[in-house]
Amino acid sequence: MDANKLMKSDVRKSWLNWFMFAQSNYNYERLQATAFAHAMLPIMKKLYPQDKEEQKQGIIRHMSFFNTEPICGSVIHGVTVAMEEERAGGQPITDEAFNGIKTGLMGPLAGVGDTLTQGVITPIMLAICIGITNNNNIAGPIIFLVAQFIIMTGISYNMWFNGYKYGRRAVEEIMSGGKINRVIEAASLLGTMVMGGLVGRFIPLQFYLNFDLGGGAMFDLQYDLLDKLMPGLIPLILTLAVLHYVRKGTSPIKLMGALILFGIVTGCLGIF
Amino acid sequence: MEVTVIQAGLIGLFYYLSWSPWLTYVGFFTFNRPLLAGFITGIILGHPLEGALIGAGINVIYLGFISAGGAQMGDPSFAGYVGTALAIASNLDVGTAMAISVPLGTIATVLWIGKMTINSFFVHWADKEVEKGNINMVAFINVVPPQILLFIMSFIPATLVVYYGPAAVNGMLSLLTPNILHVFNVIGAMLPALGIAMNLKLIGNSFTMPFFVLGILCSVYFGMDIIIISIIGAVIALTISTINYSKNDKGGNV
Repeated sequence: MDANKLMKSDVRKSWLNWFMFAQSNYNYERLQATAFAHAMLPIMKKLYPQDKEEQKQGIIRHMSFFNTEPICGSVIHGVTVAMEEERAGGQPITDEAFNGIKTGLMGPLAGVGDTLTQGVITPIMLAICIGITNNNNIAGPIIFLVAQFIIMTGISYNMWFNGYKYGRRAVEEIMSGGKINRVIEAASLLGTMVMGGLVGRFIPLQFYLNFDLGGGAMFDLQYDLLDKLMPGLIPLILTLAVLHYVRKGTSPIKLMGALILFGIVTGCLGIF
Repeated sequence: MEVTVIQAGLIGLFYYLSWSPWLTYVGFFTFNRPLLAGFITGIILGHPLEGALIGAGINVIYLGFISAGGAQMGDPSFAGYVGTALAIASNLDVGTAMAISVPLGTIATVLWIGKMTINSFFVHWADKEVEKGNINMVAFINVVPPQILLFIMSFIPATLVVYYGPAAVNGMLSLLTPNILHVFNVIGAMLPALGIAMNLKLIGNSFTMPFFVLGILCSVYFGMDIIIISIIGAVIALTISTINYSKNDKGGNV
């Protein structure tokens, strides 16, 4: 048996180590460093079965600072595994080359990955399943659970194996092919519309202001004016105002405090 | 209702699991979210639907929750598990539940910061063991010590708050008049604006924002279900994307 070749099962074992334990020892000093080394453990053992020193150097090589988005970032590990295999086959690949590839790719993939998994897929799935739940249907959380597992596992596994199979070309394909931007763009539109759909249910703010017009006629600000102009105008304005401050960089915690305060004042005065 | 020690312990256990690696990294995208946390808490307390509804409400506040490089706004999972438990035990409505779980989630961020700080020591331990040639210790150190630490830092506080919290919440509620409960509901109706705005910061731009208004109209004026809204959204998104890319120039910017 050729010791310097990896079997599919070795690569899969490596993927599983990462897929489970990527954030297990997440820390301020080197973030996902031990998790990266943990994922490379089966690879090193397979590539250098007799050579304890090479195994050790391999693990030390992958104990350096590393941080990316664990699902989409898997492509980096795939590329690294392929490079390790070439190195074991006699190619002169230095530690610096490994580090350069890893640190060069982890930033851009964290950006794309966070946008895709945390910014687009999860909020859209949540919005839909929250909507289902709100019709008194417990299928909401169940669909959410199953769908997320299928989507995220699928992306992670495919990223890893594409990285392994195509090396750096896989990354270039993802980053510059425009394909990922197209997905994010379409999903952003869908997501923005779904966010609007949540507003009606979850920001049910209404003015409770009435004006006596004399002669028994009443003018209800909400019913007689706002509902005629545009239903949902108050939630829209509130969300846009919060968005303005979020964009300006006001911390979410401060905004939370401000909203609670605003709620107390307007609630007490009977405006809403 | 009374929360038993076993129920409190189970809720604490699921809170731990939601941050742990045992449910794979997808645990972070599922068991960590208040929607599912509320449902699970509801099952444990014998009110699954109520739990799911409360969890859904809390989750809207955390819709835009993004954890990047360890910096984050609050702990949605703590708000989801503990907030739902307190709400069910004290019979709170969804709006009030949302208002009380936000502070819980914010305080729980301390647990996260503590964990990430202490974990740094384990990295040095791993360095030393590898230097000695014990490479298998990397797997051990990456898993066992941080998970023992996480278990202690998550299971214990969550269980204690779930077990002793309802008495405190009930004491507080006995002081509340309907007017004050109305204020809680107003707060509960305002906080989702933050969750939605946080997400819009990422995906909302001059190209997509008109569809936000369309989404509001679909739900408020036409009373459409979110499923229908998302199908309409998907149709529009695919159409526009196809038009943009068949013209071979990039319309809209993300």
